Amino acid sequence: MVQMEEQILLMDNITVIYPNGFAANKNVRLACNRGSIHALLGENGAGKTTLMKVLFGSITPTEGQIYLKGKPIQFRDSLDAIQHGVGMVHQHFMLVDELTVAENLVLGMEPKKRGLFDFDAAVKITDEIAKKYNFEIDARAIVGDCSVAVKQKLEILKALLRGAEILILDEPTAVLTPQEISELFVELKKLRDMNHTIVFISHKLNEVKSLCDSFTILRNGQVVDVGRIDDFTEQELSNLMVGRQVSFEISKDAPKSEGRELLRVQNLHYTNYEGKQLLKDVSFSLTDGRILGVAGVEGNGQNELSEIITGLRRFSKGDITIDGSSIKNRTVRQIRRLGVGSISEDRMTYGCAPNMSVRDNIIADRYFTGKYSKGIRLDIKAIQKDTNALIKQFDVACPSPDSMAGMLSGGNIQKIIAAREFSSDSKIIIANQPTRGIDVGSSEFIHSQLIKMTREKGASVLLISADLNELIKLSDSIIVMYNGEITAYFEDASKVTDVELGEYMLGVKKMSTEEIGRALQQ
Amino acid sequence: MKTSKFIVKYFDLIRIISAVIIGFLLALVFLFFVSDDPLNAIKTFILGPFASKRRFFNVIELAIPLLFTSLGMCFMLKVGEFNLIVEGGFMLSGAVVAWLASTALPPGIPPVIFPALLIVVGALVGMACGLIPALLNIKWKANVVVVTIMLNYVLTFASTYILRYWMRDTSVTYLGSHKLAQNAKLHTLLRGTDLHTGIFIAIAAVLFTWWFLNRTTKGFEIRVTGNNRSFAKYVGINVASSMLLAQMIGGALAGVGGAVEILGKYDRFLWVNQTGYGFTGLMISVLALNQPAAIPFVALLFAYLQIGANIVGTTTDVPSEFVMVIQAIIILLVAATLFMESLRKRAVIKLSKVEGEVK
Amino acid sequence: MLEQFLTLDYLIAFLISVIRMSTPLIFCALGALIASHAGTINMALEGIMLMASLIAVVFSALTQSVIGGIAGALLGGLIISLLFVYLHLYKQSDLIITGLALNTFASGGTVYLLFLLTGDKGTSRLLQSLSVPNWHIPIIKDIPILGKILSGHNALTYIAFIAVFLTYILVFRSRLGLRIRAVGFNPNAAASVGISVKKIKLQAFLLSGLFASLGGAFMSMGYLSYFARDMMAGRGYIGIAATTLANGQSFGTLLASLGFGAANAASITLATLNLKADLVAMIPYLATVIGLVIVSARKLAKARKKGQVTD
Repeated sequence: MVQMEEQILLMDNITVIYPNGFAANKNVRLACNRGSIHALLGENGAGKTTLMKVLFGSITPTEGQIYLKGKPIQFRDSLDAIQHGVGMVHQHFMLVDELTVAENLVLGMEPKKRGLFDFDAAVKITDEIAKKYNFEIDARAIVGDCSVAVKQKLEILKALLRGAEILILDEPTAVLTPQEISELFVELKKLRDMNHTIVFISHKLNEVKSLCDSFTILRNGQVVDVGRIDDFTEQELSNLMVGRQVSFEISKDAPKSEGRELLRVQNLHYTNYEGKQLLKDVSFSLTDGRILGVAGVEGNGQNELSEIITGLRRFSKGDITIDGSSIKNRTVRQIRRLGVGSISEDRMTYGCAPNMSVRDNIIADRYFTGKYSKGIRLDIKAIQKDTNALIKQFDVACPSPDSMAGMLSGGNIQKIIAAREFSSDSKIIIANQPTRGIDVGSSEFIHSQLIKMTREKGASVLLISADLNELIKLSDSIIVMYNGEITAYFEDASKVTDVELGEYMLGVKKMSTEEIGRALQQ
Repeated sequence: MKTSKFIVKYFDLIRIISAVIIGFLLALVFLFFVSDDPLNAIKTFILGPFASKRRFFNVIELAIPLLFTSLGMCFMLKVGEFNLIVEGGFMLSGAVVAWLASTALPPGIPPVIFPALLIVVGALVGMACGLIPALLNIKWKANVVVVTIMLNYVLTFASTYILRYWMRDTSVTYLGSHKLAQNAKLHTLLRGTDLHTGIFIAIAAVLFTWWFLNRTTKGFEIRVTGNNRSFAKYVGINVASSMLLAQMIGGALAGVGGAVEILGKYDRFLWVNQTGYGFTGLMISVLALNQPAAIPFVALLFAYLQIGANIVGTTTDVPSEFVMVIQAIIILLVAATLFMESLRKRAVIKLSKVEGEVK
Repeated sequence: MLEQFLTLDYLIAFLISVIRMSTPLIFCALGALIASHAGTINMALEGIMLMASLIAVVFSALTQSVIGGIAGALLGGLIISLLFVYLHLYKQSDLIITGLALNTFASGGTVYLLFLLTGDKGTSRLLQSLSVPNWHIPIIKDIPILGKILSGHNALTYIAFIAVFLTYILVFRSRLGLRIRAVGFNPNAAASVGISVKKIKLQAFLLSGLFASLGGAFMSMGYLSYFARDMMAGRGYIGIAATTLANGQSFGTLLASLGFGAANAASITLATLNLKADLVAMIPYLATVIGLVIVSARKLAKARKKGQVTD
């Protein structure tokens, strides 16, 4: 007997426009059947997170309607969503590390005995629900001592205990080992068999293939395709995800390189304090006048790479040289003096001092040089003259050079950062997500500046970006990072398609060691 | 629309002035309900400080130590540390300087040189005081507020120890030091007042603080560090050394303050309790939004309130301590980020609406 | 000279003094403990205790009842606590500035009120206020030596020891305590299951203030029989240090408070010896600084080992 498929969730015609005018979702439709695992696919910034925030009640959509079991519904907040049977496992766990598993599980709905918290009852509840869903978990363990996989199980149990019928998992495998991943999949399939519905967000297509039943692909805030997983190959899914977007044109000349190696990263390893290896044997070189793009889904080691090159992190093994000098044991300032400028992906934390003036922000890397100071005295005239010129040159829209940087828009803050980092005599610019979250005008401006740096000033740029269009248009060559390793190297970026990059970024393909080795000049 | 623009532009100033006005009105209410002769008390409070030349200069004299402690606090707050050692540093420096001037050093050291030497000693004492909690905090992350408040007690007792065992004049009935050497003292400027040359040093300290913080590379580093430590690291500033430097200078300013106060206003060292100038300095710096240029005005305001309250305390039936309550209320209002926020919001909304229509 | 202080009588007197001196510190440290579990610091404890001790005297004099006095203490502490909570949680004012300003507020405010009520700016001796009675514990009081040390203390002293158990149960065994700790460790996690972070912090601050208020009551209705200006002498901050030292554990906090109480008692005992009083008076404060530094250093070393601190 064929069971009628019941549509448990329908998000119809969802549009979300943020206050700054950015449309993160445009007429999105997402439908899931009861007892299925549905993959929500898309690049960084495609609108997946926004859509899930709508489903979980943290954002009210500008337009559109959610139907649960056929009934229209509107969530006031996340708590409301939880009460209606929607559970979410965040990428960053919402757990109290210092408390036990049982305490975390029952938090907010604690069992009570004689007016006090009944820990034994909490343990019992934990054991019962773990048994029901066949999860193995130690109720009395302190969460902080548990492995990431156990924490994730706990998050899932938390949602289930609160009656979740629909479970949203936001990139759950990003933090797991292969064994843990297969264990998780077994458990998720069991949940599906128990008639729960799962929305699974991931970038890793092999996982999606092996786990999910159906999929929705978002690109640029819109749905590009919906279907059954079995009807598509990984290749096809990958192509759909990264397919060409509304493109912009960048005109750039051919690189005029003298072949001088300005940055050389050789056999770089980095292991974080938890013992997780985040960079594995990364080697590449970058010559003058060129832009090297680093493609990859976020969290595959790009941030660590940029922080290591700029001196904010110390690497474990290998070596990095800037124009021939090693940066080992050098301070941030010494590395900067070697000619490294950088745009951090976290603008407000590393990019600026929000309560200081635009002028102060621009000179923050050079105030001590002979040009702007004599002894400890700052030469205000020189500073004013040059910063005024830079504000003009970099088109920073501010009421006055003395305005607080934090009062300006994201695009203008990014221009301040560019004015600082591009105007010092940098040989190398590390540009980490240089145009994320800023308006089109500002990002075009940043692009043209990056090209100018290389074509006119002979500097080199290491461009880390999740925006494939930006990457392909700007870069001369591209490397792809996946799981802390370089998995592909393309000598000529103009001959690469986003589809091709996507396959390497999502771990579908990997080049041979020899091919990758060409990234490093011998 | 014009008013909206004005509100947005000068919001901080409006907020502070409103807080001061509210505090002042509350002071009047306090006086009104408490005094048997309220009108006289209010009149004494407001006009008392202007009633005679001596009283008027009392305000300026009181502003001198307050300037030093608030400038010291300004350095601490600029680098983002609640180092309250200025209270203890001020007192200990006063004690050490008094000991040197009354007992330890020969009284024959020539004028000018003598006080100059002592003020340098005071600066060093204060600097050492600022250094200790800074080191404890940088090296071991010990809570700087609790540590400095405890150390302030230690420094207070160290001062009374010096008074009692190193320089006590047993020929007088009260607890006091020997007389300070005449050559060591700062000259009185105006006959009939206690205004002394220390005021020039205070003015110099204001200029120095402004100059150092705004016009030097080290001051720049201090400001960046206090504003955003991650950013400071990212542009290559040595965060630990700017924290240390700021707190040493902050302590040194308090030390100079203690020395100037003793040499300018006292014949003997008489302090047996904390002066309270350090905490008042904190309040002044907060109210001046840590702007060295604004500090003199706020210091004068606080001195005026205090002198007014003192006169009320001695000539009427109201205790002068009510002024502490008033000062605290002003600070509480200014520290409350959301105080008057609705006014600003309304103005911003109005402005953006107008701008929208123009577009 | 030293021998005379090593006699049994002197030792007994010293231990009695330790317990006495520890009482206000225990209350205050327990208050600090509750706030610390909510992930914050109650910087206004000094002011809360000061206001509590004055209002305790005033109420006990007005009602001529000890209970009235205790109620007054709780009310006095509550006034400062509510101001603190309102400004810090609802008007987003800085924790430290607000705390210090409220302490100044209480310091000036108590003297002002005191003068209004008695015409004296120093102490409340003119008010006919009561003291909390001493309790003699049956059975224990008859044990030689131990009975002398443990029995006959102020009722509030015994309540302080009971309060250690109470806070233990409150923080580690009650539902509210679980929520307080959850909010303190990870407010996002608490909020994600529908716990209002602000509300929990508010409750923690108020409870914190109530415990400290009892310490204030002890100062003016037990330790002394009157209120004296600025009589807390930094005890509010020592309480914060005691909890920090004990890493938020209730019984550890008791021990740390007893330690600081001992430092206090030592400074008083030694002062009677004609030792240099000013140096001796530093002892409790120096002990606090040294204790804080040692614990902070150890915590930091641990965090470094775990890699939570990278520089």
